[in-house]
Amino acid sequence: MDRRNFLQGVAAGATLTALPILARADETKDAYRAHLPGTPRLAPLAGCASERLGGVAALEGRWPAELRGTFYRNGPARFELGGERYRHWFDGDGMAHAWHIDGGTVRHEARFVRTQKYEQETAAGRFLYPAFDTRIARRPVGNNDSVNPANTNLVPHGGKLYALWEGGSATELDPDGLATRGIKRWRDDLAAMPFSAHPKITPDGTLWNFGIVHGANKLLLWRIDADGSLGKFGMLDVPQLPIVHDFVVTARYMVFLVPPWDVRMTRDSTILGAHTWNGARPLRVVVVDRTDFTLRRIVEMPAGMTLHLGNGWDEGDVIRLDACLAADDSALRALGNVMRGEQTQAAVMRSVLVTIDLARGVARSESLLDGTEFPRVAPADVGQRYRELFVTTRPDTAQFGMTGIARIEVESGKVDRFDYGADWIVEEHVPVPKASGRGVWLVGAAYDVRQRQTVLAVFDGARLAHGPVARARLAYAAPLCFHGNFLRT
Amino acid sequence: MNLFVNLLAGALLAGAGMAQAADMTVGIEGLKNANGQVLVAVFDRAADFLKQPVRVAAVTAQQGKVRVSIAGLPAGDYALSVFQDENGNGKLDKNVIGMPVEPYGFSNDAAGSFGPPSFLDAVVHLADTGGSATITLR
Repeated sequence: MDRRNFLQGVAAGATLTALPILARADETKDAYRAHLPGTPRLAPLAGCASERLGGVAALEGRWPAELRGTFYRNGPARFELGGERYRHWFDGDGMAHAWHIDGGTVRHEARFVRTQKYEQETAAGRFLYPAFDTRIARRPVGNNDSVNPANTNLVPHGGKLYALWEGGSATELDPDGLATRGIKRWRDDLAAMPFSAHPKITPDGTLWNFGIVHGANKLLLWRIDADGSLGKFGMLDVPQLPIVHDFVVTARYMVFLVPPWDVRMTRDSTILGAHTWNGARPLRVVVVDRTDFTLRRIVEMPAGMTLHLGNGWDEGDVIRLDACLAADDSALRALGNVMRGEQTQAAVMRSVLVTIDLARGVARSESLLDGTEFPRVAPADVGQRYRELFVTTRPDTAQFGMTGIARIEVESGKVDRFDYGADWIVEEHVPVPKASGRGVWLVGAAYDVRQRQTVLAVFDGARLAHGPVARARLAYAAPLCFHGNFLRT
Repeated sequence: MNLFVNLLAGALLAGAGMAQAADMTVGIEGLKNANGQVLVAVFDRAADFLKQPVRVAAVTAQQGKVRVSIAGLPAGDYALSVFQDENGNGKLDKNVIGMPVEPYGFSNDAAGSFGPPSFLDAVVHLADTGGSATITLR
């Protein structure tokens, strides 16, 4: 008899004196609470107790007058419910954020995405469904959208706004006010199909995306046309498909880096728990023709783990792309440990430039910069040869989160960087084209650990080392986000 | 954990071999809308599960919960599948990889692993005094 059944037996046996035994102990929550006084850096992982947040930021410096619009962001923000705490940062329910920038003011608002899961669990007062790495099975799962937390990216496209996860549908939000409109169904027979959180929008306005069906080894391919309608859908069989989080699109191809995880899903495993690192297997580069969604070639590289890719282009039979690559998956595991309040050293994640020779079937990579994440390029560069890559940076320590930003010149490897300092958690920074058409602003949020406040900063993309041009400081801490996009007005 | 199951009062009458007709009341919960009908299929053998029901029943959908009674079943073991045919096309709609996209459920609220549950996971016993089952749509 396990402990849970024993407690139920006690309850059924029914004297009131038995009730205190039922008080729920949650090890993840207790460990997090115990570590928190000594690790203020992990405070933003407590989660957000309010349904909405909002406020006007205090400006430091002169915000560029021509830089107007809305900076949409998304990230998990509910980690605890009914006394339970999720075991991985990726498990939390998505909160959509909008930084409205206009006429010299910066205003922040945020609101939870009202997914089916969020609404049912809120009504029940406790978690009901399994998450990425927390096993909960209080209610049976109907399909992928039963467990969709819509927590990874916020993407404006074709006049619509989508909150994205990677294992299920896009969730459409109202671009003004962030109210949830509902699950997006591109076609009836494509309901609840995985639609990744990292679509790429080429300069012609086409949105390219993919999805992975775990256990079925299916790579789904999506083309959403500039008007927001479904252009093309395809499905490819790729053996041994694990988590694939991101990809690049080039003029002719969609390119995926598939890490060597062995996947064994059982009824009791979480998604992450079903993944076992196998460094004896290669990293596979899967190249798909983007016009007809056929498999062009699979090229092998030495084992390596990647979540994020920046951009890529093709020239003849050669594809070049950048990725943040690590020796193993310890960084992904470390993002579970932080939920217990533990900061653990992980394999260094480095930006590399990968050259894939399709004719010869070989690939090689060269290092650009160590300690990087969240690669982004200017919107006009997507799918084309590019000169500049923007990343966040961190020192090689166990400390959670990023602490700086860098611009990498892809050809020369030259680096221009700015370090916020050890008492900051730096989020993804996004290049936004200047109105002049020459150069970019780099816009991003960061959490000030000492002040417990979130700050939005703007840099001149050509001179990061000079520090921010302006900052907009909130009086509160907004939950940390993963990804977002700037929509100019 | 079958949290939602409230099944079939214990069979005190040990009528060995005596298959008397009994009534099964099926409560279906978790309807998010009143579109279409809720269809119930009753299976009595693992070999026929999700293929050849011994009985079917239908009830007009309404928000929240509905109830349907299946009369005159011999006492014995059964597994039930239900779905809400929201668009009235007579079938459980699935997407191109076979994932259901209309609300559905099974007796015991049984859950499969990458597919429907087995007959045994979903099996409920109907005593010859009758019984009831509750299924939550997912």
